[in-house]
Amino acid sequence: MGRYVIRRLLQMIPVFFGTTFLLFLLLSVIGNPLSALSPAQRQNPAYIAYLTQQFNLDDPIIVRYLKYIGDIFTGNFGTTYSGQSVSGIVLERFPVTATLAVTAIIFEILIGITVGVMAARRRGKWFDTASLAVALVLIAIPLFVLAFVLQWLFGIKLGWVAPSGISDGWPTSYLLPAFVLASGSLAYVLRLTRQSLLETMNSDFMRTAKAKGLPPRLILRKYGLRNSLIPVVTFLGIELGTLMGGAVITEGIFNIPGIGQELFSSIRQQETVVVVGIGTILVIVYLLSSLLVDVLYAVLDPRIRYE
Amino acid sequence: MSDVQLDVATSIGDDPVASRTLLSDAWYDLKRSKVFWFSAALLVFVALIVLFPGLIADKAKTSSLTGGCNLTNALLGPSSQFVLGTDQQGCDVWALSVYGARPSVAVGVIAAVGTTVIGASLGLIAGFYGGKTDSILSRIFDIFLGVPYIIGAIVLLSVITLPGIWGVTLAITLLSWPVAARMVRAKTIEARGQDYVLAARALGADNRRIMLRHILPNAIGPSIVVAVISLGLFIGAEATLSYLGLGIRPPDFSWGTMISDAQNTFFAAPWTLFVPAGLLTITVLAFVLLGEAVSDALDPKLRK
Repeated sequence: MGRYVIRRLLQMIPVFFGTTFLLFLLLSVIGNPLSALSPAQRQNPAYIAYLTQQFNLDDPIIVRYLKYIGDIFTGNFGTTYSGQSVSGIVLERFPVTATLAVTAIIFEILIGITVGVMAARRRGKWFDTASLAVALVLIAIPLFVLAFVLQWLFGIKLGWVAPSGISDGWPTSYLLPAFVLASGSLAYVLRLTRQSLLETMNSDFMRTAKAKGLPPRLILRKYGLRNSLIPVVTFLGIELGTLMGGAVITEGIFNIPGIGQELFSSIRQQETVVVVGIGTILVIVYLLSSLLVDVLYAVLDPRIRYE
Repeated sequence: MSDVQLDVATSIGDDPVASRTLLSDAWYDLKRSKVFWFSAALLVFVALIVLFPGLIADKAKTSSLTGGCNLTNALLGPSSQFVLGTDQQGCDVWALSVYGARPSVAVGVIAAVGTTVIGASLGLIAGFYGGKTDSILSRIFDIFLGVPYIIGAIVLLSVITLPGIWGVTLAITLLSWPVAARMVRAKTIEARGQDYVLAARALGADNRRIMLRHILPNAIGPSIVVAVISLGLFIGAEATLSYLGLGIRPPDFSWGTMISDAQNTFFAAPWTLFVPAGLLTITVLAFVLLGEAVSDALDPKLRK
């Protein structure tokens, strides 16, 4: 196990550098700070020299990238063109997005797994068919359309929650955006739970448990769920990273001041440093969560052994 | 397959020999799948409006250049003149939605073909040669998968500016191909050691022939299913990117741009959102359902 984790961590190193370099390279094409200057600033050679030095603009791209990554490892994510610290911005906004993502995952667990189990137990009945149909529609409908419709329905027409902003705090303000953010994956969790439980129900140990005369609830909980939730749990493991990336649209529509919103406006304003900083953090979250998932596999299912 | 089924297959005219191949087995199952016929019916409708939009809508009503849109008609409800109402510019929402189908579906089709071709070729090479080739290619798959999707798309589309649908299509393809690559790679590794491959090698087939004639047909199945499902999801992705102002740009329009425009008029005129969004959802649903039906049919474990 220890050796496996170390090997996976070693494999991550080229992926980490590759992905962040790719982002850095693309952003350096659009985000040259000198092109974003006002005419007055452009007349100021001292300021241009300062920026050139600050962002190492005289160096070739690969050197610039290495200097940037070196800074990141010492915890310095750089400053924006207007002198704000990127770490400060991220620290301020990260908790908001994390709250949103965790709330979304709670929805996925509560609704996705519960309905999935109920559907599996009623296989072929109307509840099963209906929940699968709803799940497919949730997958097919684009996130932002669902966001508009729910915002209009619950925020404006019914007035149950504020249509945007987070002034009501958790959980009220986060319910609607978290549900929208969760919707696609929720449908996926539902189907995964159902399919996995159906497969488990067919296995020999379930029949044995039944033959021994154990109560059905106990069989479901101790034998069925325990064995069929492995793929679901591992899916939820990678979700955290995906949800944070997907928050761009949800945060935009519901006006939630998290990193998604910051990211989008930074791309618009060509604030390369912020985009690369947030991008790097998201890449790290993604890589670590996919490692976590692989390790979780072994913990949840003792039959899986890593050499 | 039981004898009874074979008899049925023969009696309805199928070639009894061919009916034993994987594909005809799958087709046998598909013909009996309600989901398949439902999605096929939806897709015929979609294909109709993509290929012949002129049959059911008037192109003139989609542009002010042709005099079809008049600001005095802005945001009118459904009427005999405008079946599903008008948008902010006074254009006919139904005509726009019908003519907006082609770019939306085109993005999905081209991106799905692109990701499958790129992914299958690289996955096949990585899985077949193994060793260093595999290590390097697999890391490249990981790098592209590691880029957060929406950030990657936004950044790519800020860099590449191609006309019409090509920018979005390229961005979606570049970010999605590793999924197919990983899948084909895994299947190739599985097939590489099989007897039929060894037999082909013993008969003197070279690597190229083994890869293309023997491994590829056996390794591509699951990624084709994924391609069909992703085709639908790519149509949704185009809409999302157009909503962010990065997809298709005026004067071109698609379901994505229409939905994006509708966010301001939605409260006053809900049809401006619901018509394109509804057609889009139906189309995505049709492709997802088709992919599922095919995947069920190809999976021998689920066969009753």
